[in-house]
Amino acid sequence: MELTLDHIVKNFGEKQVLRGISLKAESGRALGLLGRNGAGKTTAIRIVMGVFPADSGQVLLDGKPFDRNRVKIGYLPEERGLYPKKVISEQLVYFGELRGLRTAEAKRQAKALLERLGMEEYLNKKLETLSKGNQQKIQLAVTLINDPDIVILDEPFSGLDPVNAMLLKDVVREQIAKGKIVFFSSHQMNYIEEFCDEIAILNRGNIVLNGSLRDIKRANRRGQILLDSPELERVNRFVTEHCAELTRKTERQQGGLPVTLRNPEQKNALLRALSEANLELDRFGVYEPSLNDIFVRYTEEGI
Amino acid sequence: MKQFSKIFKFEFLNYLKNKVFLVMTIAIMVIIAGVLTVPALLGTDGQEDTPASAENRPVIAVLENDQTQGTAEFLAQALPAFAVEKTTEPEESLRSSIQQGDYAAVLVMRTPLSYRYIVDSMGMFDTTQQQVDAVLVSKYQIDAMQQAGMSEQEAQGVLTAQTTPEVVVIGTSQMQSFFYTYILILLLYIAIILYGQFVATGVAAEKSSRAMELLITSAKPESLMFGKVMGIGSAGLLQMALILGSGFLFYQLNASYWQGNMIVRSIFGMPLSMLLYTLLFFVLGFFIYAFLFGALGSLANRSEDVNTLVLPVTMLFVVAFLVVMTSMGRGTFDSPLMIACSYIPFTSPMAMFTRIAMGSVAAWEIILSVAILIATTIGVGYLSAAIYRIGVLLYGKPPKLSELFRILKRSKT
Repeated sequence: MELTLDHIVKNFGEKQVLRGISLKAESGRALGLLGRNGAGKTTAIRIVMGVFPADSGQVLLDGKPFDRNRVKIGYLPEERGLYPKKVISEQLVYFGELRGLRTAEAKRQAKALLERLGMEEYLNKKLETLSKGNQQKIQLAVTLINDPDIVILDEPFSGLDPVNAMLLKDVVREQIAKGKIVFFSSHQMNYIEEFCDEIAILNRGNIVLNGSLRDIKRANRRGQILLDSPELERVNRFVTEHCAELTRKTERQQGGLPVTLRNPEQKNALLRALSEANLELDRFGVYEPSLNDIFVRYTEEGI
Repeated sequence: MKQFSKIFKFEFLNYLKNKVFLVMTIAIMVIIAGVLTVPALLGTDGQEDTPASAENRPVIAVLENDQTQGTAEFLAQALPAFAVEKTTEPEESLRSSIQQGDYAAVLVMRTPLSYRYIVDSMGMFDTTQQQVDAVLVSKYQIDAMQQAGMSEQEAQGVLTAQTTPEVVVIGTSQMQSFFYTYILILLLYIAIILYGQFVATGVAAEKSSRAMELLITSAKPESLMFGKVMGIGSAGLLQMALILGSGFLFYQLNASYWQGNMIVRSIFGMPLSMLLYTLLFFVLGFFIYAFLFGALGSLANRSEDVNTLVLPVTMLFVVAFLVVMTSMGRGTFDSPLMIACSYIPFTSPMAMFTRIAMGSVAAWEIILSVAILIATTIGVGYLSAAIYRIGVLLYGKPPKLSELFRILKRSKT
């Protein structure tokens, strides 16, 4: 399956929230929608979920208009919330039934999910007696209660401690492995970097960067070399003093010395210079920018 | 339809499992049982005035003169609740006897129709003087008739003449239906406003707990709205049926005791048709108001906002109630105002009900009123679902009515 957002425009009054965004999410791959606060991530997701319509553009599934009644969708809204005074199993079953499960099926599924999340002891507890993090997990269970084909998660990591975040990552990975479409938004880059294949960066209503994470990283190397050495200070001095015609910027960082080349082609020239100087090197490698670096660059440049 | 039945079940059971709701229902049933049973067990039959024994009857002293001979004897005969004594003491000493409590009252007769009535203090509901008055008038009339040649019996017969009517009521007897109509109107009023409020707070609670976004992406707003309204309505109907049922049950158990009480007998003697009309107008009235309450509840951010938001609708309903109550008080049920109100959808549940119970209404009028009501209710239902659909995602200040309609219009196109 392939879920496509095609030139979606959405305005709230005078405010342009989405200015014609296009995206594609495929089965078995996770698409992460990144953006700063107020970039339009939740609006985009709500349009996919049909919470409100787009002003123009359309949402397509395999090229046809997206009919939400014919596909099983699991949705974790940004506004978390269930019935605080109700027993957890009742709520899970209720939402399962609303999404078309039979009662027995819903019960079975509820139990299995809580077991998967390590929450089976809470099956007959009232939601309000749980901690916030555990309520989040129940919310995730509600999202997956109908074994959805399309999983849409709005800021799934917010409010989770590292252990629960790991559990969530595992659960999401399972969904991806089962060939589901997983589409989610976040502003926590480290989580996304770990399991996302595709990312789209949304800034002020526009997609500023879109594609596979590996390609994006490769394309964003921008001629940076990372050096490491037991005698890093000597290396640093050598590079700034003797290789000025090759490099533009050198700044000492923890864990290495990133050197920006004037011209990415001069990689080998730098290597030769370093080896001729007989400096001891632990590492000479292309510097991979982190998703965080890329994100900051693309969203700040937009301002 | 499947979603609707799931939502209906969820909301219905929600109330049945609610402890407050259960305790309230049982408490009311127990109170009704108590009110209907306890007096019967105690054996008092509502008549508190037991006749005073001969010894401690209040004493009325009568000071006669030549013109008014025989007044004391006549009074003694006519007023068995009092001991009437003829006296010859002077008025001054009689006054002190009253203060000492020897006499309840003293009559100083001047002419057959003129006298001085002396008491120590006069109670608000003391009718002794009026009774004395009436007796003196009839004595005067009998004396006059006797002088004209009638015997005392004949004269008394003329004065106490009575008709023996046979009343045939073709329409509704307002006397008989008054009390139960009153109770049923009150019941309609309380039920519609109470269960309507339940809908509003239920929707607002879902919104404030943020369950809403998940709900509207899991089910159609129409299913959510109709399921909720019907679920709560059914729970309310069950509660009312239990309360009314316990009333009828305990009345039947104590029926022999309550036979003597006209009001209670008329309440429980209400015809089945009126109960069915109550059901009909409860259902219709509840729906139209519950939809409005639900739509307004969806605009609230917190449960506390609900009361302010539903105020206009509550006021509308109170006005309808007041119109009906005024007509009950005046006994005018087919006034132009009542006729108009019995066709306006928001007032007709109570106004038409009252007219059916108390006035004279043709069958086509009832059908027309109900048809208008049903059509409006369906319209209001869909409008409310649309408002609900938008309202549940509006956080912040509740929108003004004009804004709301603008948003509605935009979302339709």
